Amino acid sequence: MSKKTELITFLISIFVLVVMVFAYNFLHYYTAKEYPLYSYTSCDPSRDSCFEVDPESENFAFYTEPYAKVDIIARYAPTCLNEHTCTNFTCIGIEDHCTVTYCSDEVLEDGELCSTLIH
Amino acid sequence: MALSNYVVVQYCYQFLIEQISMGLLIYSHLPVALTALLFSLFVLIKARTLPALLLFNTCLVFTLWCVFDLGAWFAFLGSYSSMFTWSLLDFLAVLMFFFGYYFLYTFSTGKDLPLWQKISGLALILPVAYISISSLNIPVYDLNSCAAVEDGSYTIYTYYVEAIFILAAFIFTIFQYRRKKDTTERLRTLLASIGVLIFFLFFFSASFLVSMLAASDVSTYVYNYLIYGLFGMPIFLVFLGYVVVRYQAFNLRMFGAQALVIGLIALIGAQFFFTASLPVVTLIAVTLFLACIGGYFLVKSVKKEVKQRLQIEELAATLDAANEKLKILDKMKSEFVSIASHQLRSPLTSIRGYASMLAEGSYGKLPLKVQEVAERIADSAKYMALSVEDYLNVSRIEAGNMKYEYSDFSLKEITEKVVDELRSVAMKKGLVMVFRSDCDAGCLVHADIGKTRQVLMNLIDNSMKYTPRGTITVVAHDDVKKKKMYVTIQDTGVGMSKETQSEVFEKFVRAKNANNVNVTGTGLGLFVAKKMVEDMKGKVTAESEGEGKGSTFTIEFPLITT
Repeated sequence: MSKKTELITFLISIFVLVVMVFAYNFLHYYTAKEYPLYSYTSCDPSRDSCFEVDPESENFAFYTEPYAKVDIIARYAPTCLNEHTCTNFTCIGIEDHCTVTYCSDEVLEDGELCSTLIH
Repeated sequence: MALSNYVVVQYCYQFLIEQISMGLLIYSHLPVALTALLFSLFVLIKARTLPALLLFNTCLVFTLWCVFDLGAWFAFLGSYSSMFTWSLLDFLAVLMFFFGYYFLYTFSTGKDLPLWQKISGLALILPVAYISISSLNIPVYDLNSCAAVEDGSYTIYTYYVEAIFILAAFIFTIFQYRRKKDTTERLRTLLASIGVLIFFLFFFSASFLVSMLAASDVSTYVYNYLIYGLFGMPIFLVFLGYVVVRYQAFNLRMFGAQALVIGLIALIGAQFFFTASLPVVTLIAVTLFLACIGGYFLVKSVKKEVKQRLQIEELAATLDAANEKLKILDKMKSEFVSIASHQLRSPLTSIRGYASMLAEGSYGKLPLKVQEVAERIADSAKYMALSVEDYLNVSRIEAGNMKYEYSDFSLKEITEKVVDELRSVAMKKGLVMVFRSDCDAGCLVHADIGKTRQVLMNLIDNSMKYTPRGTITVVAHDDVKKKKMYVTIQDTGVGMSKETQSEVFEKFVRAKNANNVNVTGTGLGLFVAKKMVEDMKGKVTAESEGEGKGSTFTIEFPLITT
């Protein structure tokens, strides 16, 4: 193989690789939206055990209100989830692609507290 | 700003503008990316070489990285947009480092990257490509912070790869610096390497630092620091621009003016990102328009000047070549004259000798008419021998073969002897020859006696030739203060015009009024005299108040004072 052919082959290989990676990711993220989203959603402490931000924690607070955690595939996520405006969000109907996590000792992270159920 | 019209997720838009100024974000990404792209495109169009192509590739990938990074920041366009662009950032960064190293190698060596290095580079890039498409680097998108969540264990691989390229570039730079012998080549390579390394280090440090900070949760708005990583590119471009201007890298000329105009236009254009006010936008638009017009004429003018300069350079090169050719021809001519003169001198000596002997009656008493003929033959042969001697001297002078034997002697005494020798010839012509001297310090000079004598003979003989009647006054005098010794030969001959004075010491030049006094001559005597005196650290000058007013020749030598 001549030097020129070697160079052209190499540059074309790189170009093909770039196009393939771009195309795959475009289809995966842009078209299919096949990626998980993680979000907080509003939670009713009178009905569920909600997360609350520990006031003594130095962590940045995205939510000052009680919240539940949502893991959902982007394709199934409602618009209100992006804007954090959903009320009483549930995964009913899309259980295979969505999970709502309420507060418990097992899932509690640093800087968080579980709200006390109000009956 | 206009971007607010495209907001899909209001929450993320608010979140973004709380973190960082939109103008700063765009200004830190787009102008530098655009400048890099235009610079490399310009170089590629003009140079069309492998290093130019690789520079373009580096800048193109850098531009893509900047645009995609903005896409990652612009989460308000939707998480899918942000995730798509974010997922490719590591891949683009690694690709950019590879092309940067590849460019440095080809630019410095003038050769393509060896196959093993290409394969090694590809082997390092492929895992990053795989990680990008497998989403391992960003497994999830956090709607709370409007950002992808990076998996540190995978992104760290990207940093290793980048560090390997930085190390490779560093080692290569040292290796090349030691290897290159030519100082210009060395500096050219060193400057380009420093530029590439600064670009790499800025980019790497900012990305690495941000990732570390993001993983440690010490700060919320850590991604703001990423913009500092982009500052390496303009520094790289400045280094490369200097290499282009100083060392004509890529064979680019007039690059400075074009780069200045493009940079100016890019800077003015970038002002659009900082304002939404209609009057200011109008003002910027007008300024941009004027800069474009002015820039066009500036580039056109510089282009014209460069073209003219190139033509002059070409002409100068042609002239140099022609001059060299002429020198060779002149040398050949001198050699020919030298050989021919040597061939002529021997038979002339015989003719002169035998003619003199015939005239003097060495072969018996000759009739008066034959005796006169023999005398004429002897005179002509003598004159011809002197001419041949002149030609030989010119040949020696031009070939640099004239030999001088220096000693200290009294110039007054030599001059007096020469005057005495020539006095009889002068008297035959009806001329009066006067000699005077006025020496305070012995009239000593350091020169070649034989050559000095010849110079005096030439000058006095010249005066006699051009003086139909009157006096020739030869004065030897010194000037102790100036430490100079002079011999002045003043005649009452035909004199010289100003024009003749300026060229009287040139080869084959004879005064225009020479024929009036019926003088024959080669026009070499004064030339030979001047060259000899100059070779002996002296000086000869000629003065005349005009035609018909006589001439004065002055020989000047450094005086030796005891």
